[in-house]
Amino acid sequence: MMWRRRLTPPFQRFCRFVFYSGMAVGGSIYLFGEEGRDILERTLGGPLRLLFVALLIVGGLCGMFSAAVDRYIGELIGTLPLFTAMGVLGLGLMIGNEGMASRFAIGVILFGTGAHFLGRFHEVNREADKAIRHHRAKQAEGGSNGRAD
Amino acid sequence: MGVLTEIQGLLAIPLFGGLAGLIWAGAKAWTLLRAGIRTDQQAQIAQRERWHQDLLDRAERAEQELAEERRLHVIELDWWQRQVYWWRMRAADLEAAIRGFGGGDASIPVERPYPERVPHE
Repeated sequence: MMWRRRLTPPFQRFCRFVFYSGMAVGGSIYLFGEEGRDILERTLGGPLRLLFVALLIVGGLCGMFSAAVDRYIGELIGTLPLFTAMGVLGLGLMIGNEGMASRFAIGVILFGTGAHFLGRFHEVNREADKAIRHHRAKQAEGGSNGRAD
Repeated sequence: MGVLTEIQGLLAIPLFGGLAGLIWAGAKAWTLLRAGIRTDQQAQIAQRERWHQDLLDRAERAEQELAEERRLHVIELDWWQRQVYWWRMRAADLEAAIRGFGGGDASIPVERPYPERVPHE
């Protein structure tokens, strides 16, 4: 039986690539940019700031890899750190808005972006679970190794 | 202001949670790589096709068993009829799901419950 096969359209992959590269570039700017009296500096000073930046860069690079080669394995690794980084930054801005509505608004937007990453993580994690389950079932049957040839 | 700083300080906790998540997801990805499981969409579609074929094979085997039981005049026919019906219906569900999403969606349908009896055709 033949089913119509369709891979991820190139335009979608391109957009995803740009999206994730934004995360990595943003993280790099935080890393190399001059330290200021921003919300991150006050709340996540020193090593914690570095940890935040690392999560952002690693997550962004993994997502870029995923989009470039059309494999979900990079997103499996990268979406949780990105969710955390976005969530923390969003919450930080919301809590420490210093009476500025724009800060609070940006915080909400970032928090929403974090929720998107969590949703994507859930999706790819389910895919990974299915693939592993199928692989193990095949192994238990003693048949093929479950690879998608 | 002091309370606010304390709350902001708590943001370090989810940050470490993110680090733990990164390590956990990395380990899972390593499992996938080590087992040689492909993670592209093409592989997901191929996997569903194999599941569909598995279901059809099981239905066929059950049909053969049913024919054998009939030939031997065994009274457990209903059990085998339900088996055939169940495998066929699950295969049809899976096929419909894949066709419905243009072959590009990786979801699988909710498994239907085992039938109490086979509906009359």
